Amino acid sequence: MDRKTAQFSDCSTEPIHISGTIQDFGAVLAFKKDFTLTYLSANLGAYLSDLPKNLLDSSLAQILGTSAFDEVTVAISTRRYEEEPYFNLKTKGGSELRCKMHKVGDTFIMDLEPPQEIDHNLVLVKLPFAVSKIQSCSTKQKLLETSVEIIRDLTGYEKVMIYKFHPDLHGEVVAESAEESVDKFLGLHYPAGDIPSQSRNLFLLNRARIISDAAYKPVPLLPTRNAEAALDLSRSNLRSVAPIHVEYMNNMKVQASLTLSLIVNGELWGLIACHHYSSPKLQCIELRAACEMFSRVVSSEITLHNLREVDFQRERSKELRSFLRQEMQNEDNLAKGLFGKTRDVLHLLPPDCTGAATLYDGEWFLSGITPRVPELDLLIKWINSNHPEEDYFFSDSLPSIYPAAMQYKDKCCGILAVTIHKGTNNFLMWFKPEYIRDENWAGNPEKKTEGVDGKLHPRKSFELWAKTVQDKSRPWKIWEQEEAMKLRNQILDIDLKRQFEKEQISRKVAEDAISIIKIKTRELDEQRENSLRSAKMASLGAMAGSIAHEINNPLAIISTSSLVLAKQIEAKADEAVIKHTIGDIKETVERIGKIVRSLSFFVRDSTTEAKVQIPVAQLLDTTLPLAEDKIRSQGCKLSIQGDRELLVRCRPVAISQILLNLLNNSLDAIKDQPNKWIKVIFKEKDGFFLLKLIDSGPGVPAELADKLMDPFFTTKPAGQGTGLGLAISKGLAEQDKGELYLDRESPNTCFVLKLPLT
Amino acid sequence: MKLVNLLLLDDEVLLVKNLSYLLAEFAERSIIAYSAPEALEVMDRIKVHCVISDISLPGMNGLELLRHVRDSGNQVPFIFYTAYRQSKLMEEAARYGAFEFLTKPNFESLKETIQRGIRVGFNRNSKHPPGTDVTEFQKLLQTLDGVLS
Repeated sequence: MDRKTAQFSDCSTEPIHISGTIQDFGAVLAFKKDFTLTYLSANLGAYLSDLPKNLLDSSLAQILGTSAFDEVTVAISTRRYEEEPYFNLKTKGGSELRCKMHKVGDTFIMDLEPPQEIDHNLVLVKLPFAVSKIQSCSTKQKLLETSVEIIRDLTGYEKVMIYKFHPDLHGEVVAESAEESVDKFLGLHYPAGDIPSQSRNLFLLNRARIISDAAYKPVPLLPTRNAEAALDLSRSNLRSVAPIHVEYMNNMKVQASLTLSLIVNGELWGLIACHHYSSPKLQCIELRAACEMFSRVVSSEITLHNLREVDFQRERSKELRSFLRQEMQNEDNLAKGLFGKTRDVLHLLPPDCTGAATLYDGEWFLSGITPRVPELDLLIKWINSNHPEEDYFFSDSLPSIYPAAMQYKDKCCGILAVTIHKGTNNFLMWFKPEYIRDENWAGNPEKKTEGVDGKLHPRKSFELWAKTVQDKSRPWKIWEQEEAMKLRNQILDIDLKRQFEKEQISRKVAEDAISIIKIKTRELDEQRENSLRSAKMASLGAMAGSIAHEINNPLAIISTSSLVLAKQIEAKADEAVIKHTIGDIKETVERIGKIVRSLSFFVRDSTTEAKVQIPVAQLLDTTLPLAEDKIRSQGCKLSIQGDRELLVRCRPVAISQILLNLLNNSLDAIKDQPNKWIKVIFKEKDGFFLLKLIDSGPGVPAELADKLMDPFFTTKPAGQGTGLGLAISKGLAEQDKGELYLDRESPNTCFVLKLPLT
Repeated sequence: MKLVNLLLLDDEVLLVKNLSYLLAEFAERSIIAYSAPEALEVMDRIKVHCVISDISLPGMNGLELLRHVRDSGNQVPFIFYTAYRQSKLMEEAARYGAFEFLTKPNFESLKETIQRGIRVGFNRNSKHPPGTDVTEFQKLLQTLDGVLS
């Protein structure tokens, strides 16, 4: 709302419901539930005879008489007063009074009116007919027009109008039935302040409000000594009229009025305003009740028409949304599904919207008549900074709050923007162009309302005052906003499902990967085990080879020597020659013994071996024979330096295996060199036993040195090395809390075995 | 009458000494070598009718020696008398045209094989191995396949 005029909103603070006076077409009595009187209107005597003299100290029964009092007690105990519009009281004088009673807090308020002549034909024949007539109206406008005709016919007011509240609460006369002679207001707009908020609230409480005579004399309410708070007359038929409203009526030259509320979905949708100009006019309570009932029917008919209208739009939108859902599901980019096909988001909100845009993951999608992308970028920026944290933003007058929009108000004057994901820059937007129209006002609403006396006065002129409405689009309807939100929720829904699917897929991928890894790991484990086994087999094989060599050679010597011996004996050779041959045999047998001892030592399982303290000599003596043949056959020089008596605490087999592995590696590495040598140097240093094995090789290239100890790393031709020797050896050394490493500083290839001495 | 020359090659001193003594009944001359180069030197000087050689030798091994000998066009029967059977070595020996592959100590087999070897070597005129030799190799290979595959 951008009207900043004083209007009548200033009187919204006036306590019009506790004015302390009533209109003069009836009397009021107020009492507590124990029937102690709190208020009575000063005009009571006009309606009740034989009143006690000390009225303010009298009881309700004394005032009403026993018969009427009994009626009241019955009405209260049966709650009849709540259900029926009024009930009859027989007064002491024998006359009847129409009594309308209601309760405010713990106070009962009684409106008393004398009965009036009534044409029963109106209520019994015309009204049912009227109801069926309005129920058959095909459009809402027709309904409103028919309604004003019927009310005028029923009540006889000179003018009956339907006054509709717009979303900004200003009113417009949307239907009118009037005598030829009176001014017509149809199509006129009234500022919201003409009917201030507390008046609107009262219309919700009191659906039929009558002012019988604008020139009435207010009747004061007299408090008894039991009176506490001021009496709230909100729901009283007789409630007095705010002075400013009286003035307003006078300005309009209205002498009497009846106002019926049209309530749709609990809100004041509009009013049926009945005006009488030529004279005051009092409608009897029965007819007012009938009119109220009729206005309720009109209200529900309006509700039905609204629902039907919206239902039609909703059906269309629903169908389109399901189409768009399909389109979105077919596209990777959801926004692409919203655009580009036969129908798009623009068609969701017909017919007022002429453009739609969607910003999705930084990309704009446009349909219909829209601002340009750079303009939209700036607009989004503005929305984000001025309406952050809001799910949606809408305005039917964007230029009034965002002046840059003035440039493109022919495309986007009204805007409805919905964030797709809160906190992201994804938006759905619909645009309505400027809707230039002449609005006819009942008098200039912007005219000052303050009089020379400094008091508020309503405007005096209700002359047609035309105003061209600019910079505004057609308003955003609730169904449009709801449809936009529904589409947004649908997008979120698909988005969520996709994310869920993606997560499921990635979970599936991850699970697959894990199971593949598991399988591979198992395969690798098996392979490793096989390799370990084959490495063990290979070293066993190599060892068996060495052993065979070491044993079969001496066996061959023994075997041939025994044949030689036999021949020598046969040939009666010299005893010295025979002894020499026997000596050869003995020596060779001893050689075999040594090998077998070494072997029996070596085949022990190192994994369960216990640590023992042994001299280095023992390690060397058990290991070297197994490599001796290879060393000799390769013509390699082996030298050993160190104190052979040095004691080492270790698992001898494990260390022998390491040593043999190192020796074999060296022998393989240097076998093609002309001058081959291997040096084994050992010593004690800082509580550690250090064994260096250096060979004539040129060292290990840096790029290989890093991988040297890795399992399955081998430089030997395929089939000749398992790549496990060093890895196993390193593992064995570490099991003894030692280390096995390549000395990279050494100019020749040098491996170091380091073991704690104790 | 020609003399039979036998070449004994092994780095086990005692063994070659014994072999030389025990094989005297089959060959007039047993020449002893402790290394492959020595053996080559011998074969350069005199016509050898049969070679008994170890594989594991200092420096050049027995197989390399055989290849060397074959490369020089000498088809002398070559008997490997070695400490252990290893399929790879045996295959290689067969490929280079070894006469037989025997495992120590098994002297009786050696005696029998040497007699055949000498017969083949002594009767050989051409540089190409006679058919019988080929059969021996194939027998050997079949044995290898059967035993070691």
